[in-house]
Amino acid sequence: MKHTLLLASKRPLALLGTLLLVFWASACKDNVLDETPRAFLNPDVVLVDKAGFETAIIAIHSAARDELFGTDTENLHAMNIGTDAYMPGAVSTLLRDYNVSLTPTLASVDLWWEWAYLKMLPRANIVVDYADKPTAKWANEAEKNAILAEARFFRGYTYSILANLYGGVPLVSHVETAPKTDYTRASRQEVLEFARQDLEFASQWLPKKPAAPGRIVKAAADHFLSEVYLALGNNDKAIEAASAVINDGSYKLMTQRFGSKLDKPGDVFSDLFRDKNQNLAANTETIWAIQFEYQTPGGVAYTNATNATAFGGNSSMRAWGAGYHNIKDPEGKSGMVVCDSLGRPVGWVMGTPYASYDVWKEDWNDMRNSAYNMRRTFYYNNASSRFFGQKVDPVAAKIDTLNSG
Amino acid sequence: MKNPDWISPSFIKLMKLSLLQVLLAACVVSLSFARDSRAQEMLNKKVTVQVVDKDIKTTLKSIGKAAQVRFLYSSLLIQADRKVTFTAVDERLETILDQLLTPLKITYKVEGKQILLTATPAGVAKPLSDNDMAQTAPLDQSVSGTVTDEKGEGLPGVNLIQKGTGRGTTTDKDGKFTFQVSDGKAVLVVSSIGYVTQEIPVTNRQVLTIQMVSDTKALSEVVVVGYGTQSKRNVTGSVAKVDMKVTENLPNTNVAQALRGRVAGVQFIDNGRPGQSGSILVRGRRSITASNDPLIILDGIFFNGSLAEINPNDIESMEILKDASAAAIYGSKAANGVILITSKRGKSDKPTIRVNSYYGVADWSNRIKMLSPERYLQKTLDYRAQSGQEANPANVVSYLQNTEAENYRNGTVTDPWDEISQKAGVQSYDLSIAGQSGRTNYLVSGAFVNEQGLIYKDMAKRVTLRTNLETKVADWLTVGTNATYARRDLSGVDVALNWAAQISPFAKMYYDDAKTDPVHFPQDVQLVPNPLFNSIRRQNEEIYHNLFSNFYAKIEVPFIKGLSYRINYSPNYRWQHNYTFEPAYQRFGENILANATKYNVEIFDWVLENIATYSRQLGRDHAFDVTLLYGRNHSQSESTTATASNFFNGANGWNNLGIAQTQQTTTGASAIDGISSMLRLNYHFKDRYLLTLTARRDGSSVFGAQNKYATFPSAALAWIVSDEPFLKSMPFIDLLKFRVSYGSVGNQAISPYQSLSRSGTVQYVFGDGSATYNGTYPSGMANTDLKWETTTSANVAIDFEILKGRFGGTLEYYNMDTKNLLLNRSLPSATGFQSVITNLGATNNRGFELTINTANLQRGPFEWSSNIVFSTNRNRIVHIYSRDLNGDDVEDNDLGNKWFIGQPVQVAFDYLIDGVYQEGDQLPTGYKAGFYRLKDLNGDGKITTDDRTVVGRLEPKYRWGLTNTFRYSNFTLSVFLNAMQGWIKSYNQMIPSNNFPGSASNFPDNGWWTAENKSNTMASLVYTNPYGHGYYVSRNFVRVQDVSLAYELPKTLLNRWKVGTIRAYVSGKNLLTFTKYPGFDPEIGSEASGYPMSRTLTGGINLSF
Repeated sequence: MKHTLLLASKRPLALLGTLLLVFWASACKDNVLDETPRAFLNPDVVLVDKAGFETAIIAIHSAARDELFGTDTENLHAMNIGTDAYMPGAVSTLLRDYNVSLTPTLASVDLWWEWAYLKMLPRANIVVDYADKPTAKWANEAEKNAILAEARFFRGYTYSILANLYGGVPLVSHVETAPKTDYTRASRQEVLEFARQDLEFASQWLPKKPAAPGRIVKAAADHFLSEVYLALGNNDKAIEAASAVINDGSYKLMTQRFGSKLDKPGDVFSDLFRDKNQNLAANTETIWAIQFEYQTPGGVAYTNATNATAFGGNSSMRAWGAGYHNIKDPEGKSGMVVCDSLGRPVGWVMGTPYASYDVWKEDWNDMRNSAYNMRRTFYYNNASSRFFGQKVDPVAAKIDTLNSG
Repeated sequence: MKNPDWISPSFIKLMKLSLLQVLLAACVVSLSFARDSRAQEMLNKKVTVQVVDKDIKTTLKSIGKAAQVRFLYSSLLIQADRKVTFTAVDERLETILDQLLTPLKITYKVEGKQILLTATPAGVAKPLSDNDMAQTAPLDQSVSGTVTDEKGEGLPGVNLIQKGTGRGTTTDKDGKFTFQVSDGKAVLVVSSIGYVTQEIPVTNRQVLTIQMVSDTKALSEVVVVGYGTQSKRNVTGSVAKVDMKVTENLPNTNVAQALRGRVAGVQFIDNGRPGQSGSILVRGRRSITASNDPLIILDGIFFNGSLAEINPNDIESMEILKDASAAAIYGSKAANGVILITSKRGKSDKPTIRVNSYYGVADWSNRIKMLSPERYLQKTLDYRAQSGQEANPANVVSYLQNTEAENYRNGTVTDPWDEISQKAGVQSYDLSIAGQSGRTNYLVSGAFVNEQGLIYKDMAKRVTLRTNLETKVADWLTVGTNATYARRDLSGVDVALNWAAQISPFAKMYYDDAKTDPVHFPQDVQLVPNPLFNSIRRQNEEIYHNLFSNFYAKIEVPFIKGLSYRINYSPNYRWQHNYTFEPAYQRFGENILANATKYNVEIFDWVLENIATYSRQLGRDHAFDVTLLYGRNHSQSESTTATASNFFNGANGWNNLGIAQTQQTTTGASAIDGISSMLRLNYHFKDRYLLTLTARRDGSSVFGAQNKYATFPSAALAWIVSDEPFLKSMPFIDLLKFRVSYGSVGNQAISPYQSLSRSGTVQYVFGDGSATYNGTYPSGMANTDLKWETTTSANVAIDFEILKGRFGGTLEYYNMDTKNLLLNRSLPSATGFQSVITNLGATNNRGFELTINTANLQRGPFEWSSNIVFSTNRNRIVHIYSRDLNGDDVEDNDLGNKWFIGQPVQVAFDYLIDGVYQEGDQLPTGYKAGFYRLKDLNGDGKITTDDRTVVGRLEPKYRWGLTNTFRYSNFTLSVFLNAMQGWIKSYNQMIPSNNFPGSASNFPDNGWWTAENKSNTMASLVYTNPYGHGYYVSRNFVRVQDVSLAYELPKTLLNRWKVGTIRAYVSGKNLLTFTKYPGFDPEIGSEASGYPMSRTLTGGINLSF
């Protein structure tokens, strides 16, 4: 009896002892609470060499595409509405009346502000912040300046847009590492001066020929530099910068038909807008082309949850094309169906009467007003309509064929 | 002997364990008489016995007669109706008893002049008192006797009913009764308020002496308090116990549904969908950015899965720790309250098999009225008229889309709600076996639930399996495991409800009559795709697995009485996948490439805890126990998303991504670590002054390098006034207890790595036929100072119970201050970031909670009892940034985030609608008659942002629930009302411009302004809402939430069938809702673009053997 008791008492004590050991052993490991990132990077580990900085430049290119193609909403087209050329399409209420619509809560108002400050500027500034850090290893000064030039090109480009849209804005030249709230507006002049310095640096260090289609060249910097000089009132410099582009040797206006639709009817002006024609070496009008690539990750501006490559392409056709599919035939039945060649336009924006008609009165046969560039004629394409194949009569159909219907 | 000491608290604890055991309390005590003799003499006596297939009772009677001894036992405990065959010729009584009783698991003991029989293992019953004796009697129709209280004094007014019949009587002023029963096998149900109801088989006796036992259930109820249990009497903090019995006749597929409206201070909002969790809020919203979800503890371990993964039938009890003292032991994660869930375990010797099954059908509790075909045409005309277009009723067809016009001509109309509905209902099957054999207790259960939601493809199937096993290896060592596995299947792409609400009455939904080929744009416009398009075309598989277990060992340290040690190791493995395949679709210029996504995630958590407890009684007056904890926890997850598009052949669906032209993979991984230590001291002085001191120190990896650790102390005091000598003279007070507590708890509910700077990735291409280039950009600002959010709370409470438990309840008041809020602080865009998680600001929550239980009526076989819960919480923001930029000496609000000093965290801050501009009114530039007029609050003649104000609260001001339970004989009817009041919501679909009135789009028919009807509440169809204001509606409601009617088969019948219980029930959920809310349901707060609430009718059966 006594014997078993002793055993029973020894065993738990031994176990307790072991467990206490485990207890203290685990207690002593103090570093278990240190965090090591598992599936994300940070600038400290990326921006240390040319390959790392290249990824930062790629991210700026992606942001730049968003300026014109970043969302699938009509808000993007606020930039067109109110100009001589465009007005809201029939389905759009955007800025139809500035008195009613243009309020501080209008989405279009902060769209480009957020684009600039949350995307373009931090992505460019982080390159500037890290390029001169001792942790950044460069082969030579030229390598560093080439990277800096592309980043500063985008920063200058962004500030010139901000200056034109909002006037004086806060000048931010690096990425904050702690909350900061006391921003003040610089003057418009200061903003433009800042842009000028960036673009001048870019013009000095950017290559003449793009490393790859879509990359930034010296002429692009010169082009925007001439705009900024003009805005600053320095006309001579503006002429100088524009001349640099003209005399670059790589660029001249296209006069002969070219590219992917050579076998189809068209003209040289329509060729400029056809798929696959922008990156061609033969196209001497391209200085900088924003890139899309169908069925390739990164080839579109945004994606949706189930299809990473099928959304967010060039939405111009969707926004500007006429809603032809709503056209009824003279019997009031469906006269048109959606088809490949015409797309599925919504018609958020349409040309003003001035742009659609008045401006061409001088020369109706201007190439830019040709049937390949201004579609004014539609044919009933619904096989079940009695009018299939016949020309749509805008008067009978009560539509403006340049409208969205 | 007047005071039978077998009614010990532990016995009552046992009684609560199951219905079967409750009957133990009511068991009749049968006694045999025998001449007294000395023990050894008695056992040496030689006897001859011969029985063939006789029950134990008869056998004992013959032995008693032969040996001239008296046996004392409870028929039920020793299961005296078991049949035996036994022969002994001239054997010693001791030998006979050994041979007969040992195989029957009955132990005996000579106690003075009697032989006492108990079931093995001992511990269920103690020696019976003389008072319990009753003579066995021959079969007779008449029964008389006395009912006494615990002191043996006659109890007047006690109800006696013969079970299963209407026969009954009550005792006279001396506690005496005479009663005619149908036969000697009758069972008497003896009940009186304040006493435990007993069922007593007459078993042919003529005279009965029945002693009633005080119903001290509430006092001796055992409450799980985290790292241990406590008698409810001794609890010092604010702990609410959820009685799972109340909801067992309801088709709750989620444990949280048992909380819905039933616990003061706990708000559970059901979202009406199968397999979904709903949301729980304990005592209001403290955190602005971090999670407000309470911590879930399952069988003592952090449960990180979904509550939908727990089988409600496996749950023994749920406790909610509401104040800092109770929750402080879980310091680091307890700021939002703690829900402790305890699963069942085996208790009875005999295996108990339970079968529970129900079947229910569900329908929409409410359908929003959309524009009818006629109203839709009127809308089209009115919009055109108001926007200055031709609006000739004769030409209305030409204003419709082509498809609409065709259906209009054909007289075909579509109801969106019919289109998106499916046959809804629920089926549940649950089987469990539990028991205790020797040193081991066990519970094995399996359940299957199949729920079909109201909306097409909204469904959930769940399989849960559980094994709880505990064995006493040695007197000092117990090892055990609680393990559960759940598999939830939520496959299927749900209907896109926002589009359903826009379906035109003249829409064309399908190309074919079999409804397999949906029209993508049923009314031509791209604004409104077919809500069923993806549900029908996309294949989807979404499955969640959860394997949760705890392995533990408990050591009762010998020699040091009261010291014990427990180690828990709890691995939790969860894995989920979500696969979708969309076939190619080429039609009318539309080109959807076949595409597929596979998402896999794997989460592994573990918790290791060492817990030492020591309890000691010092002298008569001092008792204490100490709990010491040291533990670590870890959680890691990894995920892979693979997408592919342009399959040249879709036959393999998502299983063959490799054949697609474009393939892309993204992955994620994260880990969180924690270290915890905790000390708790409970001290009781004179058993009526109770003190609890707790301190917990926690470390979490999610915080900044210098702020990983924080300490959370708390203290609580309780005084059981009713035990004071000066209150002993007031016997009508059963319990009066004051509690007060103060302490702090923490919140770490943020994502990991927020203290570090982070880069995002993005992709781009360069050139035609380009490969993909990866880019990186700064995506998160580091915050190296990130630290714990802390809530300090004070709680005062009174627990009371009077008139033998007829009236009891709890009243609590609390005040909680939360500081260093983990706030997603908005940053000026110029910083390069939208926001950063910081410790900023403070909130306050204070409120009252009241719970009342009453036994209203007991007359004959009829009983009526009620339970009322009421709670109110006032939530406000105390500080945000603590800055005053405008220099008005008042801290600035954060207008961008709608955070206002002194207002609730969730508040409606907006312009006020001041009627509608009518024709002839002076209109602002660009305005038309029919536009809303906004209130110019500051009277400066302009509408500016300064004219916004707090319109109301987005969370209920107060909530109440009322349960009435009526019992008549074997029937139980329970009716539960639930109400939430004092809250509003911005109802988007009241603003015409949110409804695309100018397009081919439908919306709820709430009316609109026209020049003729001159509405002053609804705007015209062309109102564009330039200020983006809301239209607010009340979400107040009172709901008949649960009604259930259960019938339990009479015991006499069940005994014959050898069945423990059979209960059949029908219940209805969300039967009736009183509300002015215009949407589907005020509780969900859904508009026409959200989910409807279901009304469910269920029938079920519970069996136990």
